[in-house]
Amino acid sequence: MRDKISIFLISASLIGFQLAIINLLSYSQWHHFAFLAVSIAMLGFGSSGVLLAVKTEFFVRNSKQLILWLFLLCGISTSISPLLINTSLIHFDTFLIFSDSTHLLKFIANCLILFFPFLFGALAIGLYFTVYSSKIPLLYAWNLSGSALGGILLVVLSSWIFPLQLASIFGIFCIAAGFLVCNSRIDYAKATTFLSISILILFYLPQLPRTSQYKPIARTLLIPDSKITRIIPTRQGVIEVVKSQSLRPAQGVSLNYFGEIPTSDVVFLNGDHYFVLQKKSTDSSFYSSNIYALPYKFLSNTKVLLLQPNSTSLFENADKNCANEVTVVEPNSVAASLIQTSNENPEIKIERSYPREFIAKTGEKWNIIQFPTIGTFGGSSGISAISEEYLFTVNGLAAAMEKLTCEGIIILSTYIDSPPRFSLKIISLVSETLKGKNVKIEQTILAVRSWNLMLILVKPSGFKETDFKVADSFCSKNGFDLFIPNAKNPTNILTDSTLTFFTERILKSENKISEIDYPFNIEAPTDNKPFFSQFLKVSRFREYKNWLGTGIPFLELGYIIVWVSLIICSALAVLAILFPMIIWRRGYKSSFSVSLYFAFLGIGYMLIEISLIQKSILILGNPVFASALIISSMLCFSAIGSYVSQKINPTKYIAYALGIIALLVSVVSIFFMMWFDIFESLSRSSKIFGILLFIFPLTFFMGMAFPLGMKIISEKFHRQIPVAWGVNGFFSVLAAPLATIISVEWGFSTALFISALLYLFCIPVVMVMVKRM
Amino acid sequence: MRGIIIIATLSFCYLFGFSQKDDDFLIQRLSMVRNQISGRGITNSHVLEAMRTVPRHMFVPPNYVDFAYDDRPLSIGYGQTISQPFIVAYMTDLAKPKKEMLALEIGTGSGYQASILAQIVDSVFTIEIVPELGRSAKKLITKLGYNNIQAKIADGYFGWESKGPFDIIIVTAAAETIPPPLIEQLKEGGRMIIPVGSQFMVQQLMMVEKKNGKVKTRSLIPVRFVPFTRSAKP
Repeated sequence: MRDKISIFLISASLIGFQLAIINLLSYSQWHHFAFLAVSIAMLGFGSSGVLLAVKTEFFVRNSKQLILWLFLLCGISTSISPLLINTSLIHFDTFLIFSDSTHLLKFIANCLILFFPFLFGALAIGLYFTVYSSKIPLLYAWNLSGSALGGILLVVLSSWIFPLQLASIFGIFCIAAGFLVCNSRIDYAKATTFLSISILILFYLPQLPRTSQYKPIARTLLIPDSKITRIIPTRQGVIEVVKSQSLRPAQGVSLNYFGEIPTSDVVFLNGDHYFVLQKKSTDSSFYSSNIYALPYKFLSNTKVLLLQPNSTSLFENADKNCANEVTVVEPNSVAASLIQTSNENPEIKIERSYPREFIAKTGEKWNIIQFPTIGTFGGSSGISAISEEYLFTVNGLAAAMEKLTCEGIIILSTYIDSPPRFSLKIISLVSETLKGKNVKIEQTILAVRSWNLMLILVKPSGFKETDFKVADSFCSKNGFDLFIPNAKNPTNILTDSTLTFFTERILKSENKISEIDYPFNIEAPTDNKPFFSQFLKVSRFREYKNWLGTGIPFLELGYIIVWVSLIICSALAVLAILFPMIIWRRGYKSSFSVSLYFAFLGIGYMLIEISLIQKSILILGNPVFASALIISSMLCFSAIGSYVSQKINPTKYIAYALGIIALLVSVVSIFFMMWFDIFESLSRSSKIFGILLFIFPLTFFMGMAFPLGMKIISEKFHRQIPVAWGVNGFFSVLAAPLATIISVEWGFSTALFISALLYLFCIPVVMVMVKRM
Repeated sequence: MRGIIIIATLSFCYLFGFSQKDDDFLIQRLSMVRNQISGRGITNSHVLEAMRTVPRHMFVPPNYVDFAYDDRPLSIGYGQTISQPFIVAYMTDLAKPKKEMLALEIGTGSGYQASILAQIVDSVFTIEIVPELGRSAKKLITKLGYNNIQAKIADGYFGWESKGPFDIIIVTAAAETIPPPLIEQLKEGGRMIIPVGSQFMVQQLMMVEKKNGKVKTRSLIPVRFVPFTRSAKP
């Protein structure tokens, strides 16, 4: 029993550490490194398989002593790695990876430092599997349920503990598990020493990690009088409030406004701009000369819904422009309470909810629904390229339109970029949504622009001629220009006609936007492909190179990072897993069918996991909660499947299990959203219950595929166990960034379809395995 | 005697080596102007001469000296960059600088843009909010003998009212808002230039003009980027 509990605890520690690293890298760099963390973890698992395969006899002979050492090494490397990657010698800067080779080396050093905890941990688990091969399904069940606990622990602790400490704390957890495998006083002394060092490291860690010097918070803190007034860990990341007399953002203000711009406190989430707590201006023209004041010229006594606004000035603007009632939807509870504290106006209500979730559940109708400004959360260099954005999809916009009163208006806004990408994509989004609802585009859209911002108003019931006149006079008074329809003598001249040319083509096109020949992806995002900020087309890379030279990474940093992660992790996986295995094969023949089977499982499992997370975010709104729910429940249900599989004859039933998985993946792919239409208006707990109920059969059978395969090879091909472990790890390394690339390029449904095929292909492969036996 | 010979030899080697390195930088600078600047359509002789004269390698951190004349921006620390040579030349060219003009720069950075302007205009006033950058730029500007540059560490939002109004205002960092005091300190007929986009790849420049009391803007793409409409199907 002690062995099982120690497997349970080390598994919890490894998954907790992996998720904590994602949190840590999201703060110190950007959240794209989530894929890197997953790949490094899998790299550790893969390499452990190779080591076990090469030195099976050594490991088995010394297993009793080695297991304790592996627990202790895993624990100490887990504790110390956050400290090491935070040193100035090792800390890398995402932006500088592309221009300074020392930062590329530092990046690789980070990968290696984070690799060791997973290597030692996976060696410990793999050694258990090798020594007790007849009990693999049972041990695997403990392994998976421990992992599920790690996921839950991370979610709970991340609201209380800062990222560096959180990552380090799992090391202590792991060493504590090591006490369970101690057999002598000396063993206890070793464990106690390691535990003391880990606790010391925890106290030595700084409160917050170093950040990239190019992160907004780092740059803001260089202002002499700036100071952080609050730091709060939340599930979505670390919230920091910065105060300075030099912070005066004023989004949308007219260049003809010569009054004072009030100072602001700025709220950062994981070091990126999140929210502006702007002091109220006593000058009413500060609000009336703002581009966001335009919609209020068309309506009176308005009821306004502001979805995740990025500044308090937006609801002050609504209030000063005679809105009757303003509702602000903010998903981050800490940010919502900061807004609540700064808000003295009883007519402004704050709702803590995700915008899409709020739209789905509200029964009210609104005169104005304002979407967040694109570019303020997307960043100027495509840093959010691989973040799903469910509000800015055809389905999201259509859902919002359903909540408009008959004369209601949707407000969308974006910074004008060059080459135009955000601006054209949002026009595509509006165009496709209106086409989908069979609404005529003419007279439905009115757009104005300032020197750097574009405001698009969508009124499904149609603008009147007088509305266009009102807009025109508002623009000439404040130095803005009508954009749809296009002004003839603009104040803000665009020398490059790309934006106007393609806007016209999108709006007039009867065909699909994908048929418009544009170098960037400006297709309207959908719930299946919700990547608003991803614009690169892999097929046009040569053209980008001609236009932008070495600047490509800075145009679409997010997506490029996924590719860089894939390349670096593949290289490391080849070096640490594949290459040693090929050398080792000289002495021992590994089975191709075994390798193929466990490779398919490695990729298939990851594709399903990522797709299920995506679908759950849509239903639950909160990405952190949805990810934790899916990861933990998948592991938990798979653990049950694994436990049950020990009583099953593998050669007889494995093909059935694989066939059922392929079938259930197809069912999930087709019926998941239909199933949730039933739960849409129900409470969050009902939705969670619905998700769990729906994914249980699939993940239960998925939990069987790995242990049943292991059971088959353990009977006759005992030496193939580490190979299976290694190959599965190798392909899981590639699967994390690969799953993202597949989802970005072809959508989540395709990712699910591919995984169904992979499980289906496993059937003939496993037949060959059984036949060989 | 032996000591004197050693010292003399070392001094000769040092001086020879130093001047040879200087010559190398001059060659690189001339090549930079030929290929990256005049080669991309900038013909203003004052701008080209300034770019040929100002030693860019003095404005980059020691570890980047070898890349100083490359066609790219470089990190100067504190989350800031020294812009790509072409962008500096293009911004200066757009401002149409003349000998008698007064120029204001918001964001001194390493002091390179101010030094280029100082080669052409009467006086340059430059403001940096990050004290460390402001101090080192001031030191370097003094060392290089630019007497017509005045630098201060302050919040660029307020501009430099006592020295204005200015014929040229160059804001070196992309901004979400153009501070009203800067527009007020722009002379009638004056030009303000602001980059738009990420610091590592300025894709667009914004020119703000004040004519008859009215503010007009013009967004310009650097000539190296071809507008996509040319390649679009009719």
